[in-house]
Amino acid sequence: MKKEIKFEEALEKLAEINEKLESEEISLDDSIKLFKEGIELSKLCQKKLDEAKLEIEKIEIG
Amino acid sequence: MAGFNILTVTQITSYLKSYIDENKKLSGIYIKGEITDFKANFYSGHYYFSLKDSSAEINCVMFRSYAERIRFMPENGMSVIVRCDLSVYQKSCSCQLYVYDIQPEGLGAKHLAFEQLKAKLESEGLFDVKYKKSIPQYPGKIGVITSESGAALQDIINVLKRRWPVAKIMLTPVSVQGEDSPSQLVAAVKKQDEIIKPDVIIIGRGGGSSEDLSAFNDENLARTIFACKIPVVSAVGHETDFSICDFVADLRAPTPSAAAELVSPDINSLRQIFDDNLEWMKDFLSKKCDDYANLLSKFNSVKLQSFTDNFLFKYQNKLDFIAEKRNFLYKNLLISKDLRFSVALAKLENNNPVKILQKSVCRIEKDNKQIVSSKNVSVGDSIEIYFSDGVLKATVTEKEKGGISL
Repeated sequence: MKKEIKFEEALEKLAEINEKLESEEISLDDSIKLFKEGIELSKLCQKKLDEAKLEIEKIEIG
Repeated sequence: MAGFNILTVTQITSYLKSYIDENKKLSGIYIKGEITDFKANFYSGHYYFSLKDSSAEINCVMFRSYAERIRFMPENGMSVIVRCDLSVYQKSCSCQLYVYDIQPEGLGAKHLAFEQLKAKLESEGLFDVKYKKSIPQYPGKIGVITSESGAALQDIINVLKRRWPVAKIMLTPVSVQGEDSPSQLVAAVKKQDEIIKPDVIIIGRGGGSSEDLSAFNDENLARTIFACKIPVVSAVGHETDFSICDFVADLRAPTPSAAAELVSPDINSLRQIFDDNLEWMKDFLSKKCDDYANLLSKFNSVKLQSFTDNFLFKYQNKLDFIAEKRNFLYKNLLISKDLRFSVALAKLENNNPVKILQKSVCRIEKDNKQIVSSKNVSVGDSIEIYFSDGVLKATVTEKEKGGISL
């Protein structure tokens, strides 16, 4: 069972993280948390891409 | 008028009708002309019109059972060839054509039907850009409506394997030509839309003759695609083929392979995006760490130094002050102790009985010799007591042992 991953959402999330990181107010602790989140998400997405294998399911109309 | 053979109106019109009907030359004939006074009866479904040329005109009727079979809607001014029988409408004794089929002159019937359906759907707004849904960038499930054995499916699979193997193809197999095709296509679109719910749908087939592709010009299919809530990409035949399905779909692809390309991102470019993001994050993180390290080192070398200096200076002063105060207090304490000691000592000395005795000491002599012990004096002896202010001459009257020791 392939876990559904929405790449649009992942990219949006990453953009959000990057934006937060670049803001001035963020504390070092929070930025490290965000880095961890961002790096994990990027790696998860890369893993999904690396493991991807086209599947075909047939559904009869009848 | 006795003696004449008198006929009724019905008899003569019947005669005329049968005379004409029996004439083989007047049945199954092809007539060429221009349509005029066209009426489609809404209730009966029959068509009534006239055909005319430059000098003559004839009434025509096309009953519903035939009218239903033609794929286009006849219009006034249209040049057509009709296949028909000539007969008589007895009620008005009018000679008219009973039409079985109408073919537009020049254009093929199908082509005309296509143009008409296209114009009709367009006027209803089915092709309006404002209804076109956008195609998702990273589809998870891709619905595919095509023939299971066709080249289109293989083309789509090949493109997706290369570009976007992340996707899952949800195939609803249909026949893409023949009489059953339109209804199967409609059923497949509905199934995808209502049950399978993919992110995007590709509907299409590979190239073929215009007859082969005609299932994709079905009006019901067009309306079903228009109503579909999921974006539909149409890919029918080759680049030069246009179908009604192409116009009503949210996106037209010239071929099935192109459709697969249009719905899929390139996996490598996405990979690049994540790579770049990781790289960016790592760079940013190390830069941030450097910034903090810089800040810390600055704090160490300058701020901390001055801070500690200030601190030390401040507290050194305080310490000095404390030390001074302590010394002062200590000194004072000593002085006062000393003083008190001297006073106490002086007091003590003043009160010392020995001192008191010493103060009162005088010189006692007997026979001009100093007496320092009572032992040297006996009762009755005369002694002289010399004070600093005078001399007493005395006689010893009593003697006791003991004394005051120093």
